[in-house]
Amino acid sequence: MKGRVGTPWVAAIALLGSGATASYVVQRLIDAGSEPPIGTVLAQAHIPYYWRMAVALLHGLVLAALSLGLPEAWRGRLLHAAPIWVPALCLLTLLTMLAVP
Amino acid sequence: MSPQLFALLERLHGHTAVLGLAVLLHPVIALARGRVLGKGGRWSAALAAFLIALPSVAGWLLYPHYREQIKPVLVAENLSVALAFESKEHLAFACLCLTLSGVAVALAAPQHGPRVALPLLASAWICGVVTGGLGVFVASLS
Repeated sequence: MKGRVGTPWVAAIALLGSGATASYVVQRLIDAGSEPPIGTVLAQAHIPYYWRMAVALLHGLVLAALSLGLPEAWRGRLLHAAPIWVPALCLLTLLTMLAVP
Repeated sequence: MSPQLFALLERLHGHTAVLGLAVLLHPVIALARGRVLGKGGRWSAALAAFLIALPSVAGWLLYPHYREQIKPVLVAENLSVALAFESKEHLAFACLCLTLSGVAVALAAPQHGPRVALPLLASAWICGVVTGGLGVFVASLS
């Protein structure tokens, strides 16, 4: 069955979602290393959770845009290996976000 | 936000998320059998994306109220529940991102369904189930 979009866009969509997820995790880990203990700050001018999601989305979009410039062979390899790197990302996300709330 | 609206959004948030995870299982199972999604599978995938996006939006609307009114009390009285809530928020975002990209691949490029959409949707489902479990834990103790 032929789809409506080609391989470049499939890779871009896959990287948008997984890139945003990875960015969120990395941002959270960076924040966890520098923020004060939970409960010591009751009110902040901004909500870090919203900022983190917005920046993660931005990173996902940038990654997706960059992937459109990749050589076709690289994109093919990336998509071929999706059953390996996507579950690995999921496992890492689960473990880190449960360990670093 | 009024207490009534908060209660309504909170229930909508939890119930639609569970429904979304149940619906998401249909395209995951279909793709795991190596099939390209049929008409029913494509509808299930689209519906799952909607039912998972809806509680995410509800959660984002609830979050400021939770942060101001509930979180300080929760941190003071039951820290483990407050930490579980934070983990739930992180994993919910992962679930949303992976679901939307997986559904987009499954709908726009069905030939890539079993190889690309399946790992995205299966990973989203696993993150969603853990999120749901944490949500039930938080709701039962807070």
